Amino acid sequence: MSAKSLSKGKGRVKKKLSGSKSYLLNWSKTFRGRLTIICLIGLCLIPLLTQNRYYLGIFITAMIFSIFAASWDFLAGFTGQVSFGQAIFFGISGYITSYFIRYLYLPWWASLLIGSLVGVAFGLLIGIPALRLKGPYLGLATMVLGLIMFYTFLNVKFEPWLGGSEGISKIPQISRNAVETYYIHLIFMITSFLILIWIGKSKMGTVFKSIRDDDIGAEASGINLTKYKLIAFMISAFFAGIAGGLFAMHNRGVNPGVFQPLYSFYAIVMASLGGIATISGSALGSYFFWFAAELFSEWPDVSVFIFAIILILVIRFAEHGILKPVLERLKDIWDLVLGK
Amino acid sequence: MVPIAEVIIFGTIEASVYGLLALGFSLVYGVGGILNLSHGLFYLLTGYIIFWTYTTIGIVWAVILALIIIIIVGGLSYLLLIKPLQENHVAILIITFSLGFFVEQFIKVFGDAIPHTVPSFVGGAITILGVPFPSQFFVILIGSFIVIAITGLFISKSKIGKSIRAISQDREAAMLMGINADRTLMYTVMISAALAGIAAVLYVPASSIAPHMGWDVLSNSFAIVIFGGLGSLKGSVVGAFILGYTRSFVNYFIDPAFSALVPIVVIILVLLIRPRGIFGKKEVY
Amino acid sequence: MLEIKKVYHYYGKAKSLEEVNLSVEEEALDVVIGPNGAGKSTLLRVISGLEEPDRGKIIFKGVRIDEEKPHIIARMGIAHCPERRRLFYDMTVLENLELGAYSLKDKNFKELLEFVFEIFPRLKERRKQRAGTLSGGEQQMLAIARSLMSNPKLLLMDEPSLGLAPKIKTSIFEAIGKIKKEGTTALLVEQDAVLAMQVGEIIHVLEEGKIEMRGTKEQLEKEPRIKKVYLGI
Repeated sequence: MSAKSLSKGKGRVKKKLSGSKSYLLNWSKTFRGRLTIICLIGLCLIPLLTQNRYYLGIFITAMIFSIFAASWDFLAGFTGQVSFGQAIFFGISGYITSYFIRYLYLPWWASLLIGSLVGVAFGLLIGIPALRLKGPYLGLATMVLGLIMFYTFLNVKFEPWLGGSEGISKIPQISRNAVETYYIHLIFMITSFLILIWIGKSKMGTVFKSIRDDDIGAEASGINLTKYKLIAFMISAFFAGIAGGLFAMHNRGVNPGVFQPLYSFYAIVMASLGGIATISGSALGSYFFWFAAELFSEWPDVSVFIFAIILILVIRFAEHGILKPVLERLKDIWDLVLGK
Repeated sequence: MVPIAEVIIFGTIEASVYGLLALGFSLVYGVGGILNLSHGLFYLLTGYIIFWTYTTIGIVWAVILALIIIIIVGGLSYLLLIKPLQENHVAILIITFSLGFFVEQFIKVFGDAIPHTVPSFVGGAITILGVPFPSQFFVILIGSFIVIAITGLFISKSKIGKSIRAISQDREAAMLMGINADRTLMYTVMISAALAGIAAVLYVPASSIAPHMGWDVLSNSFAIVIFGGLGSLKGSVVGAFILGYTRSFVNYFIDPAFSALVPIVVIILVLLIRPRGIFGKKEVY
Repeated sequence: MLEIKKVYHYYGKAKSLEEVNLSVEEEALDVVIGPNGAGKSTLLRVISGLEEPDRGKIIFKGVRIDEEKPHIIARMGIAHCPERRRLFYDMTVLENLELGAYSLKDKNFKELLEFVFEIFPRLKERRKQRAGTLSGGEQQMLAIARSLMSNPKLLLMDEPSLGLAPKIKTSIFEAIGKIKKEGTTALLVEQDAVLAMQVGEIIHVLEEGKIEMRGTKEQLEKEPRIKKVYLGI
């Protein structure tokens, strides 16, 4: 390769970099960009307001579920494959992470990585037979599998291996320091979101969207459907796995309950509330959900009951979610206040 | 000899109940192309309505009331939730899933989460091959056979039944005959609710109900329907029997722990070997 | 009887019908000819409500029908015998005919049955057989018979000769002639221009979504372009 073509390549990289820089700059000047930055700064400053373990815990839970909901939204919103068994990846990674920390004494981050990768392996394992199914059956098949996982892990017969109804308990938290734990989760959340949004905007994201909008057309134009669906499935499983591992560590243990349809429901309700196919909407949905759930902390069933009603109403009347559109409407109000 | 008799009897009972459940699920799929994730709630809610009311109004009226309510619930769930979203399959899946959750949580919030049962219509036991079985088992057997037979006749002979078949074979052509596709789908969802409700009427006295059970009903119905071929009525009945006997066999001879795994094993095997299911239709052109 | 006024239709962004004007008189037999993909089937689908026109009006017996659902239009007396037959293949011949009579209000089902068996005696022999087991020609007969069972005021037929052997084609068109004699109004879409012009009273030529020409058989036969493209003379 000649020096000329090398420098040309360099120039392109530089151009691309400066392109993305100006993109970021422009983005930060938009209302949406500013709002995101304000929210992020707000999240960074929370520990200055309170170091209370309980209050920070609410935020941490919301961050974990932001990642989880975003993993579902990525699959459903970008590739049109609806999973009702997102809890499978969440749960299996929770178990594997806990196991490696508790019994093999691996550091938490290594266990988390292993847990999420096992989640990916599960994604592959389920994906291969399940992706023969068209959309709706895939969703139902994943749900059934989640239920089976729930019963298997709950089973007394398998208790010596799988831990029975107690699961794995007494695993140490990421850090004894609540503030440090908070920031670690914040970093996980931001990184996961950046990666998911980046994939969505990349060439692969375009392929995913073309599959979602017209899979027959996409196949006709030479896209290997199974391959890309499988990749999307694995990416989604990976982030669901990250969330599951973090959740297990945050709760200092894991039990078969994580495989219930309820956890898949969590992901769906949060992503739908925020707005499907937006990724960042998932975070809004998750924070909204956990703050609201705090009001009913005495009666957890009531909050799920109310959110089931909300989800029905959102899907029925507001296809694009509510939180993100409302937030974007804020701009109009803002403009109005400024008299523009 | 004795365990064989038990395997067969228990298998037949499970099969006949699941036959009723899968039949309705498959009908709705055939007519509307819809996988109704709230299918389990028809079973669950019927059981609970009977449980909540039988002490005050007596078991017979409780059953009648429950079936009427569940048919109305079926019709309303179609009119209010499914029909407006008909173009969007993802939305239908999510909304029926949340409807299932709504009912589960409704029962948890206004009732409780522990299993309950309701009394049988008939007491006593009948002994077969030296094994005593509760008489309710025979009510289940006879009852579900009668209902499946009536449903079969209804689908093949009645005007609504014929329009149901026409729509599931060719929706556009059926509309050109003057069949109202939306109305037919509503009837189908109501029939599906009634069948699941009857399954609950028959089976709950011999077992129990708890809020989470709707999902088990759904996953077993789905396994049967995938096995028999989506949209094939014969397939759902045959699939129900195969699943019922397999579960009962695994229960007795291998380990009850594994019988919950049967549906998923069935689904995965069918998907890998014969994705159309055993009675899946070929395209005829 | 049927008036189509300035109808436009698009599949997504692709235009399939452009300013189509067409009217069918009472007891007439009109034929639409044109090459593949000209929009002939779409025209019939728009009339029977399977597709909604993007612009324009369709009036049937003085009533606007362009926003009605297909089953309402069928009940008003328009029978559409669709492309590629679209039978209920898992049902018997008789059941197919019963469904054809679904929107029949008066109770002359038996008379109609006799009438269609008279036109297509073959179907009478096969009435207990599943539609999927019939031969291609028999299936086409059944499709037409099924449309007749609703005692339609207007019969729309989409390519009744498609994929049939010449001999069977002729017998199908003989049957269409008989139906016409009974006083049924019909609009026929056909690719085989020679056959179509034998039965049609007025022939409309549809090309790329537009009606390019219309007239009687004699008028069109004088047109050099029709001769060349459609009649191959």
